Amino acid sequence: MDLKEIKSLIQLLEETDLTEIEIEEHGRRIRVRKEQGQTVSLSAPLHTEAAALPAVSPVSQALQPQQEFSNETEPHLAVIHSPIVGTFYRAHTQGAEPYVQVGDLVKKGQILCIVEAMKLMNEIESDHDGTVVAVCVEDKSSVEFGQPLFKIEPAQ
Amino acid sequence: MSKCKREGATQAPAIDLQRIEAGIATHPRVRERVREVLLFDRVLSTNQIALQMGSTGMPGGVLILAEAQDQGKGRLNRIWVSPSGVNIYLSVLLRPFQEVRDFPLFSLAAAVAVVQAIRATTGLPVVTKWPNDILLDDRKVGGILLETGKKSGEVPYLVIGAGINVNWEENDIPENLREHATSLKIALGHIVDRNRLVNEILIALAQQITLLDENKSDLIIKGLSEVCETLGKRVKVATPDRIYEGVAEALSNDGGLVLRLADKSQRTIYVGDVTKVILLPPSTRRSWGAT
Repeated sequence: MDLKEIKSLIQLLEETDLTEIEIEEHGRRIRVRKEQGQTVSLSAPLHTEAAALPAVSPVSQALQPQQEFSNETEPHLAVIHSPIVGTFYRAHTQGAEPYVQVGDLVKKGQILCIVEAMKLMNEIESDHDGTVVAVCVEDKSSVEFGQPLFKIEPAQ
Repeated sequence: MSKCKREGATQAPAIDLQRIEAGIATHPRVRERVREVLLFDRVLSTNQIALQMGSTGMPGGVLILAEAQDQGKGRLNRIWVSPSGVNIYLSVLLRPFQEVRDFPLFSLAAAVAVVQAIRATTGLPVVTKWPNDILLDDRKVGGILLETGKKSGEVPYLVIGAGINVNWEENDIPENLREHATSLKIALGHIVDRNRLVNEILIALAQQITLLDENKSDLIIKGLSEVCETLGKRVKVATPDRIYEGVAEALSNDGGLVLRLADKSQRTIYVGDVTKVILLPPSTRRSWGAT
């Protein structure tokens, strides 16, 4: 799929009431989604395991990219990991505002997200005062034990 | 007037704190788990109180009971209708020594405990829908929601919350829920002793948690498998990002629902709403269109 086709998908989304279009083609998945009045598109190589969307390449800057995180290369950042296998939610209720956005200042103990497994809702709190630098996982996607969820730049 | 008559004839006794405390005192295993019981006339939700206690450093071992909830909740803040004086709304605050990654097993332990307690108290053949809905005649009679959190440097807290439709009258169930919800009283035709049922739940929960403490989660999975009506059925599971359809073959070692999908592959689900797929017999299917 080329840029022109992606643009036409975005146009289609903007002209209709649809909120999301996802296409799988030649081993790549393209998803275009309206978010808070904006349209963002993500693409990802297809995995045989469809549980979690792997690292994505953002076409738009509207959504913080997921990316491989290495503490070795960014030792100044704190990483919040998932304590359980489950589903990641950025808001407490479907359709509600996310607990935090990239760029938000957060306090130690502030709730960042929920990870759910088998009707256990696990509220994940920030370990640090600081700024949310990245949301590493897409809302409502599956997460593994120990998977990075957020990167936080601790306040000086 | 007819409403007053009905209520007068079927008034369920109130939750009796002394009886519940006495019941706890007679069971050493329960006594070890529950050191304090708080009973409220009306709360927002018993889970909310227990969570607040957990987040402010209260040690585990507190049972919260309420006669009514104004904001009883289920998964993802869905509403749990909680009328006054007829049902059970309880939450237990724990501080398990297990790792948080093992906490989901408490969800299954709670499901087994509630099923065992209802069966022991009423003899009704209640079952579970994975992971922990309590069903009677295909309708929901109980729900369980666990919530956990952790303050930096503290042992994580875990709240096990349960709502059970005990003495709810059919006519009092909101119309939009009647198809999906029932109560023990509706099935039995008489009032159920809520105090006894609370004590039975605590006894069964203590037993199940002891299994977890003794590293015998396989027995909890086995116990749930025996009462889980989802297994062996063709089901649809709506996960937050997609819908899977397949046959629910088993529970995994960590309590996930193992589905056999149409392409014969297996998939283990940890979050989702399960609905049974009813396959119409061929004769029925053939008759469609003939009328």
